[in-house]
Amino acid sequence: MSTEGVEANRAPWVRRVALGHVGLRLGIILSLLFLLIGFVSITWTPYPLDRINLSEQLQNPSLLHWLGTDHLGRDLVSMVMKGTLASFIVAAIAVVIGMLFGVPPGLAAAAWGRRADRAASHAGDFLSLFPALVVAILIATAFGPGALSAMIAIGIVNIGVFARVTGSSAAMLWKANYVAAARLAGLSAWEAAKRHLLPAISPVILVQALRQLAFGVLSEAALSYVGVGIQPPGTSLGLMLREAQSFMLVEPLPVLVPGIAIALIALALNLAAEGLGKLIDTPLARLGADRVAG
Amino acid sequence: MIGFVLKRVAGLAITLLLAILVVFLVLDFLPDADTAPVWQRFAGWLGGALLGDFGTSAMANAPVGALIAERMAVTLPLAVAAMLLAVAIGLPLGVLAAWKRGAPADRVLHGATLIAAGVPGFWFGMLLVLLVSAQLRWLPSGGFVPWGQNPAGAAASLILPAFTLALPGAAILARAMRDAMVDAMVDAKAADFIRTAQIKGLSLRQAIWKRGLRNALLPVLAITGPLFALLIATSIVVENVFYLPGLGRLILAAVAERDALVIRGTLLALMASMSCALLMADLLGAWADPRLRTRSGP
Repeated sequence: MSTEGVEANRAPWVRRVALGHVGLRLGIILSLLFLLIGFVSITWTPYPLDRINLSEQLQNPSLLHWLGTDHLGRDLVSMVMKGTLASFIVAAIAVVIGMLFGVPPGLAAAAWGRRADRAASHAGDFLSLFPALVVAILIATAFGPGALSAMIAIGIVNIGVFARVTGSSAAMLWKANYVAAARLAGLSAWEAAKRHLLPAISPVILVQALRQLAFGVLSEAALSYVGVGIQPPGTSLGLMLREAQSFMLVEPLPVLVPGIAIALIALALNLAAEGLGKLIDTPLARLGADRVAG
Repeated sequence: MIGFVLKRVAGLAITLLLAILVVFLVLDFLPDADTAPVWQRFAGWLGGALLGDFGTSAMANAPVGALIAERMAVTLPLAVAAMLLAVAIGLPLGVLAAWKRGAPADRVLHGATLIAAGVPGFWFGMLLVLLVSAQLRWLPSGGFVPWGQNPAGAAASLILPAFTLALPGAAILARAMRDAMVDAMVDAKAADFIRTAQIKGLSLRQAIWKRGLRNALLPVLAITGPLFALLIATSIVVENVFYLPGLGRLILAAVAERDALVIRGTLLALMASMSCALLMADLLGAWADPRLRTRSGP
């Protein structure tokens, strides 16, 4: 996907991010921090999670357990670390599914014009009858619930989103002179879309990927919370909320901690997406035009 | 207009039929499937469902149709109340933000919508239970009294769930309304018609309310259909927070028991409601903007 043009633009991009507004920097730093926390949990957590210790259940925060313990005596800091990793993995794979199966039809739609518009409108109706929850319920019933059912369910929603975003931004560029020139030079519609539109719209797709990452973290939480996502003995932020709900009125901390983690991750990703979106907002069309001139 | 309505109804009916077919086929992997060809079983089940016969639930040992009808009395009022709340909260805030564009009020609202978009809706519901029910003791923390027994009690037990379900919708609508309103005001044409309205004797405030608002509502109307459909589906999660006996609790119990007849019937009811939501928003949009009637859809 990376061409010389993108390489040449890289340095100013980094500088623009560094000089960008506070929200963007905060979003990127916080996202990376949570990502790091998640990855650290692969090799190390303060306490092991596979051991139930009822003598230490529902403890308040202390020097030993910074955020206290849950109803099985497990350390909440360790749980949140593992849960963050699980949420990121589910959300990231769902984004990959969405890009792989959503971007190509979006490009094709831009190349085919009006006929594709009508097809897209019907596909949009169809997809809005299948929110992640409905798909997850279907998969969970047919094949059993788990991380995989969550990834596929969220991924299917992502496919629709990426197809729409790719389609509408590619349609804006389709009439640009350099695309017409490529067509005149003998490139097929599909080749022209792939070679000239895809690089030009990739920043838009990247921003959308960050948004869908946030959406994935939120959706994973909802799916695992109602029992059609990650299952025990696995851990996820949503599953923590499911397990903590029944004794919430006695001890609210196990409900507050994972919820705040989810909200911070989603906020960070959305801030990063919004900030980057502003950087590339100088209309897409101009981005394409610059490339022809260079 | 009648042509548009018929076309839209037919389009959505076909979409709904396809969606139901997909549901049927996925759940057909279950072992209880009998030996008749798939299309015959599908036609038999759908034909029965259209006449109100959804089969008998193994899980509840009761007709699925009766179970669904009973649960719809919780889910639909909840979803409608949440949608109305989302509109009532989101649109005025969006207009306010556009009105105060760039001012502190706009920035505060912007931050609030960003945070609201990141908070899991069902977790917000848990916070409401902790605050409003456990601390303040204003409203029940969960459960439901049937409408027939105590209508006021039934309505009261839907207040917190409705606010919970409305939060993300309100944030989305506020954001969309603000952007559409700013576009409408910045748009040169919009400025023209607002100036015209002013010349006709309306104050700037009235002009923006009467004309800018109407123009800004069009793009917002376009997203209300999918949003309403999403709220109906999301009620599955919110019912779980408040232990409400709606379609959501029914379907989740059926997933745990792998009761395919209940899941199929419930999804049919949910998807039909969602299609109605899409249709209503489309018709509202076409009524407000005649240009939409010539296209196949939004």
